[in-house]
Amino acid sequence: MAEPRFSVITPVYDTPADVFWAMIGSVLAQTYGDWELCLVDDCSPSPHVAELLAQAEAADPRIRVARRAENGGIVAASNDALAMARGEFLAMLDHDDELHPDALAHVHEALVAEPEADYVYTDEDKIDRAGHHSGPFFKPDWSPERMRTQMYSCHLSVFRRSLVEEVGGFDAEFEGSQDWDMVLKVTERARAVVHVPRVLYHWRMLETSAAGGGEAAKPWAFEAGKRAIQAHCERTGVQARCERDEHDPGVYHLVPELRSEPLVSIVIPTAGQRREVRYEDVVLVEHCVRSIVERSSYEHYEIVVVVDAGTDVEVLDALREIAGARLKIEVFDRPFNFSEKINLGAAASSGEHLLLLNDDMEVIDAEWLQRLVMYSQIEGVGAVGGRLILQDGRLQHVGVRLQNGLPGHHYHGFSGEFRGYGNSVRVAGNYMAVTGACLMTPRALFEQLGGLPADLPVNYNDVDYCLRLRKAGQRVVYDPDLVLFHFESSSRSSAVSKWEKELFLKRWLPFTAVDPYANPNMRHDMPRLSAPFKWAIRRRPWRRRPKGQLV
Amino acid sequence: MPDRTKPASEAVEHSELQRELERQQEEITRLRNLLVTRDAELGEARGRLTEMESYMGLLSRVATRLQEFAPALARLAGKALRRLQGRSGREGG
Repeated sequence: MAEPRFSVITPVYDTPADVFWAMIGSVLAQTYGDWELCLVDDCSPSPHVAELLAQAEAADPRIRVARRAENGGIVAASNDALAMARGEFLAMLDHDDELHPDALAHVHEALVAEPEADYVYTDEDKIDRAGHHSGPFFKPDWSPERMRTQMYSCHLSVFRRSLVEEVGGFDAEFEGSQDWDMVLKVTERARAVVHVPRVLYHWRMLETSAAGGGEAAKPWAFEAGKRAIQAHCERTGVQARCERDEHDPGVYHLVPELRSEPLVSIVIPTAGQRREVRYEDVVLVEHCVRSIVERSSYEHYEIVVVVDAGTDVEVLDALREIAGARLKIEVFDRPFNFSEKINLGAAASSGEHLLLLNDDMEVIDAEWLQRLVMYSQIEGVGAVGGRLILQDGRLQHVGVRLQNGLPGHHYHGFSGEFRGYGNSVRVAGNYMAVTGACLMTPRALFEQLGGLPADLPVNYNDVDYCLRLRKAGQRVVYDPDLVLFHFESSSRSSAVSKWEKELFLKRWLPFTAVDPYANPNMRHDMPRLSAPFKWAIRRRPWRRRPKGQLV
Repeated sequence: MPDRTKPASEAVEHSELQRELERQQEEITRLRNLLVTRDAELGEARGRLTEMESYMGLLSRVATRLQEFAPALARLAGKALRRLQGRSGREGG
């Protein structure tokens, strides 16, 4: 027999007979035939398991079985299965879960389309003991920043075997989250990562599985997840410490631990407008600068305020008093053009990282600049933004999504407590763009790309910049733990003109036709109308699955 | 003799006014904080309403779509039923 394309890796431990046969049946039902199933019994105490394995082995020559002399845990069993594997790719399948009949076929298609893919993952859903499906998880395309705060790719994961061997197989230090550790290690070296936006894996909810029992089922696994992220940060030079979320065991946070403080230039364009903030009449830019100066614990920054000619002298004096030697004032004497004002401020600044900041913002957290710098320093990150909230606590910005080729703020106006689909509001992630109301970018990239586009003076200039970053191979990051108040659009109308939309579409289609971070089965982060139908149909309920005994 | 009572009473009056002003300022701050808190509560409720409206919009679109497809679904169901009946007939025979 020629070497198979896929080795399905399945450690077995005390598996109930019904779910075992459902798992075996789902592999046998694969429409793509070039596979082998590597089953490793981790010394199950229940006597029925040996019998099940013997029957499975006899059922199909592609099913291979090994038995461990002593119980070693999932990592040891997975490594034994890895040693048995002969396939070019490893598909990870838990002993109580099921594959969709077309799972391997679709992964194979994806590999044909992207031969350099070293890691492929698919969408998934949950299945109960009786076989009822629920909770499909439609995932974004590859998002390295999200992977550091949530194990979102999870099932089905398919790795190139050579790379798994190169990183030394599964690591016992991360028992319970060994798959997350493996994804992090493999993707640090992968040439390409591919997402197949189809529900091809059914994760069974049993009381003993993480799918059904949550943290109570495997408390150590979540701690191991934290260690895996920490180890990844150390390997890749991310200057951060990992902490677990207080409310959700599957969510993690990065806390900046910078080894140095590069100079940050905060560029604030303003016309010195006044506005009522929390029932007090304030000059917005004074309010903003005061919050920066009073709350920031980062030492090494300068503030470049770009004012319109004719701005009240009292405002300038107040700014000098608030910010002292940190302040530079640049005067802009042409008609309003946000891009030109930012470019002027950037040219007058000298920081290694530029922070574009609206004047209608208020800093909340002392470590906000550390957070921005932490991400901005990561190789391949071109822009960073955060979670902006309105004065009454509702969401204003949690990343920019593209819809019909045009940018929009999803979840705008939703409750501040809203966690988003798949916790997307509360975990870091990659987006096509973030708002220029608070955007940090490395100066070198800003200069290389020529700054913001002057032909978009009001809207879309920030998105245009982010898209140019994306085209240059850079990632745009949303950090949920960077929270600022945004007293939105106090200075100008937020309405987008027709000519701006036309110019944007002309410039960016077809690049913006598809947002890779919005699953095609979703619309506005809710399942598309057609998704439930497609999802139901793809499960092929009319197909009979093997029940009980195979033979 | 110069009359010193008037300036002294003016000073007392002034300090009382000052205290009153401070009390009023504190009251304004208290009421402002109360308003900000109420705004936040209102914001939470408005946010949840926006969420629910979003889902409601989705559900109503699904309902409309189902209504559009109802005749076709009924035909499909009938077809499936006939197929099942045929299968059970063959199995029985």
